[in-house]
Amino acid sequence: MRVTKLVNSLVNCLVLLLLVAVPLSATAQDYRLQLDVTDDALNILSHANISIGELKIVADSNGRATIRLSKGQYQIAITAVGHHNSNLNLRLYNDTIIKIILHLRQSMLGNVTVTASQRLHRAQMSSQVLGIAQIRKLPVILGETDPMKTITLLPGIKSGGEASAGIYVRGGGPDQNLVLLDGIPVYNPNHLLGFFSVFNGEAIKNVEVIKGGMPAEYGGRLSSVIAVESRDGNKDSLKITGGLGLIASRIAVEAPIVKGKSSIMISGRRTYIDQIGKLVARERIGDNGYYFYDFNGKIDYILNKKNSLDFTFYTGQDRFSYLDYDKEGTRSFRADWGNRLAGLTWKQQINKRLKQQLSLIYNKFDLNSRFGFSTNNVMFASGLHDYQLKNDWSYNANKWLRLKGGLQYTWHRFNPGAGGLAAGEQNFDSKINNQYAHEAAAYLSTDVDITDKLNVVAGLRYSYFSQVGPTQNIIYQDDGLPSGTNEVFGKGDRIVQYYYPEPRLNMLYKLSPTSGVKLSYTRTIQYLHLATTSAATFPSDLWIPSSRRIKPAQAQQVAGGYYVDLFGRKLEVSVEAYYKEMTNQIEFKPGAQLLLNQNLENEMIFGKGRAYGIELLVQKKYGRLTGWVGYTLSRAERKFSEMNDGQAFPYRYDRTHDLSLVASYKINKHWEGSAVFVYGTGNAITMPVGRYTYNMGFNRIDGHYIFTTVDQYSKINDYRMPAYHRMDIAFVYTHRPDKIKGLRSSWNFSIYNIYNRANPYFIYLDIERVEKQIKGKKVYLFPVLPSVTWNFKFG
Amino acid sequence: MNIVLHRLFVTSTRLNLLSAMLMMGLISSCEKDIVIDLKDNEPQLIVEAYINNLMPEYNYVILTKSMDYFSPDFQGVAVSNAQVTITEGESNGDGTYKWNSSSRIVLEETNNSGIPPEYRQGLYVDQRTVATLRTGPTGLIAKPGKYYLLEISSEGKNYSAVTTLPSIVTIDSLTTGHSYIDEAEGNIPKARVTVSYKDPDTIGNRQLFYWRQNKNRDGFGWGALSNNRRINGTDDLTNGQYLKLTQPYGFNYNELVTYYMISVSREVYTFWDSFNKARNNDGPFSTPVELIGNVKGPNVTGCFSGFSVSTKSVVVKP
Repeated sequence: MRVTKLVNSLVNCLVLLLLVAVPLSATAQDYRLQLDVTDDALNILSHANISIGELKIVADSNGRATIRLSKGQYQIAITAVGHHNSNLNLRLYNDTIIKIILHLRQSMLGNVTVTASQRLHRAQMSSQVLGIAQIRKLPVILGETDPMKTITLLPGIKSGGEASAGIYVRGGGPDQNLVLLDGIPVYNPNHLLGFFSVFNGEAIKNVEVIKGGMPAEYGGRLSSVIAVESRDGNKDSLKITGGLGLIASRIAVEAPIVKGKSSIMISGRRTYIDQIGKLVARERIGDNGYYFYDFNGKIDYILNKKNSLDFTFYTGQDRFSYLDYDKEGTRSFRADWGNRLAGLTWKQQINKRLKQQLSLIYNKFDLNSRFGFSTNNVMFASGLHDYQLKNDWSYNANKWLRLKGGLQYTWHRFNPGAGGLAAGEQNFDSKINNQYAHEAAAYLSTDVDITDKLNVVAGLRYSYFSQVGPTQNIIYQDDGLPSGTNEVFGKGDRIVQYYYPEPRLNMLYKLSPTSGVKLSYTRTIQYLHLATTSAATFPSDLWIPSSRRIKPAQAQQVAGGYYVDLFGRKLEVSVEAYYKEMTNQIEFKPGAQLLLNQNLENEMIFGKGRAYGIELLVQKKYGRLTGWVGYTLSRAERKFSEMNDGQAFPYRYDRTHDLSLVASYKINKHWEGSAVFVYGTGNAITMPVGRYTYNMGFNRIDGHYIFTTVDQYSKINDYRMPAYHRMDIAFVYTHRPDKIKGLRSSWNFSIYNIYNRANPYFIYLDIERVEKQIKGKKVYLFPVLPSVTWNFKFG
Repeated sequence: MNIVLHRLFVTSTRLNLLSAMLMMGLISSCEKDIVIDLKDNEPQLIVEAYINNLMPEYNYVILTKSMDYFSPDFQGVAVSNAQVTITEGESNGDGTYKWNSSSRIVLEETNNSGIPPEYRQGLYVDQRTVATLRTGPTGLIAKPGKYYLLEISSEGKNYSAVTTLPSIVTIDSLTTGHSYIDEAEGNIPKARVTVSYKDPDTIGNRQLFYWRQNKNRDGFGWGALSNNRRINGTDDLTNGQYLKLTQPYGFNYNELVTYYMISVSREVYTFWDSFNKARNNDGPFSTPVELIGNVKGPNVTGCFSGFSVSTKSVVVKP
């Protein structure tokens, strides 16, 4: 009730802001200054920081910053991650457009900062941007640069551990992150059980994470936005970059199509553990194997001063096959899964203040796995197809008011887990019906400087979802048995619809030029659910739409924070506290029947979630030593009436303490070292409290008793795994750091888990019936792991 | 390493990606002993109860107690001196039942000499069941379509459970074939059994499969029969079809195999499905599985399983 009131008052507040804002306009003696920031390949540099005297602004994602200023003399400084700063003196006496080229730092690695300095000048809170230069120099497992792994070093963002695919933001589930590649949603951002993400370090420019205060232009997920931006090709000349690693290699080729106007960038990556394995142990591995590959492509074309086109393409596939013989005959396991994404965006600057962006997006995620005994085959296939149309507008009314608005529409097709069971002489098959849905949203947001010190970004998103035919639903009784009647829906017939307002609010109050407080409130709705079950032991991502029974998931989050810059902005300190509530969270009920079940929905239960915590981030962004310390104190819970006697229980990835230390040090012109230390409270798991015997029998021939030992459980997630901690180091050697043409290369030497901590992957109790012993065991995956990667750049 | 693989892979009838990758040596893992301090256990009453239409000696109730995880006892703690009865009745169709009190049968802790004394404790049977516990035919027997009420009184607490026997689904034929050479057992030729039957036209039919062969022919108890529950838990998608199922298990040539096809209610199926998941519950992808039983009462786990049994035998040929 209180929450509804809060929402209403926020909506009222937003409407009021809109009313106040619109009639006002700039005064006549102001001139318009537009800065367009690019790198030396003439590619747009987004989010550059611009200081004009005491005023701080940030360029937008198109590298553009526009401001109205009165006539006069100005000192302008432009900074961006991995680039040299640019300073200029400007006498403004007319409307002016300036093109600014920031040169890449000579070292291939560039600067080392988290470009969170943006936060100083925006009300947007709980957001961080990491540039690829920085991501690349940090130590990673087996030397594979991975932005998704690096973001888990930031406070509030957690990985599930080694070999765990999920990212958990402020107590939310892994399906609650809107992962975007150039604005295209990626449903399964992982290769190989989450060891690697689908984002090839060669193809990306930066990654932005928004873990709270989600702006109105984003929606459809409850917890976060992880926006990965891919790199534009070089518009000036042919360049080849790449790297050779221990398990995978990658290459990117970029070239101008029309010099200065258009470029193409194509990059590819493939793992070769399967090939190495065959060389080393051909007999053992045989035809079994695993590999993944991915291709990224980007074409951009500047049509004229006002119009440009971007085309992004991604395809990636994991292939796994395994064949084994045992006493019951052959068993085999095959799995293929992958994403295909394509997006075409037209950007238009209509006039000095107004611009728009129109995107057409195609997205496909497919999973096929087949698990076979000699006479039994279980097939599991799931998939999701999207066609999306997006139109976003932005209007800079004057120096204190900016407006954004847009429309988004997505058509979804779901293949919710077609299962098949083939037995010896298969004479039956089965298929589960496809499902279809429309998802749409409209949003409007205002960014207002109410006073010099108070900035408010208030937005309202209105989202709509409708599940439609053609499909045929079996009507089930409450006890889960089919009633015998079917409900048939024709193409496009509406089965159910939902719509919700989603208010978003971010406020910044500057206490001084170097400090301020922030507040945010967001309501987010998620219409798509990822149903996972640990009982399904193959990759089993199953995306399902909201339906009559499955209601959309909802979340509300409030957050407050304080930031201060110390020692002449050398040190940035921020503290944030958040509280989040989630409803309509899904779990499969204990003992759910998943395979070949048309009535999967009846196997689900619905509950609530809650998360709260405090995050501290201290960053040093300049000097030879750079890095950050992130610490989170938090709690995440779930509550289902059918589980744990209806009592709230800790979420599996509830992590009371989470600490990351990240440091890089420039030793000399050639060498740079970095180190990462992480510590986290162990995962919350359920352990047995006792055991009993069941399914008893007696063999009269040998006199043996027959029984099965079954574990007895009490509370859910009441046991803590040992704490997770680890330290990694990396050294980068750049051969000829001053060279700017021809072949340049660097070596990345890294050691993962340097003190060989045996972090538990899982723990279990082992009963040795013969020896009558019970032992606790822990299984761990990665001991100390050194790796070396050679990176090169040509052209 | 080998123990981990054994744990992850070999003992499990399930297969997962990670364990396969470990087998292939694409990734590696290690294992260490650690101390795991478990929370205290509150002992539960464990009820294992059966009623079927064919074999009176297989209608029995076993009562045990759960124990501390690190208890040195491995065979379970029997619960003696309980009062156990089974009553036949009918459903009123609204979730209530009409019990026929004259059908009530008292089950008593067995003193059957065919069973070793230590096994008799906690095993409750109809005392009319003949001494060998092998050849019927007197004693408690169930009828398909009827409902059964199990009542237990032990240590001052009362427990109850209701089960039913669905209609019998008959086995049309039992054939053998799908021969192969079992390399793991010294290159012995083996064959598999295919069971053919027609799924009833009504929806909601579920079956469990048990079989008897030479090595367990003289065994006692449902736990002594080999079983296979690798079959879908609902027939929504195969309703009314003629089905042929070949179980992967290999039998020796010329062996006499007796198949039992057991039709069960959803509750009973769910219990045995949860049991199946619990006993294979190993490895990183597993979650704790509690048995989802139908016995009601304070701090109790277990199932009163109504089994509608049909059977056929076949001599295994290549």
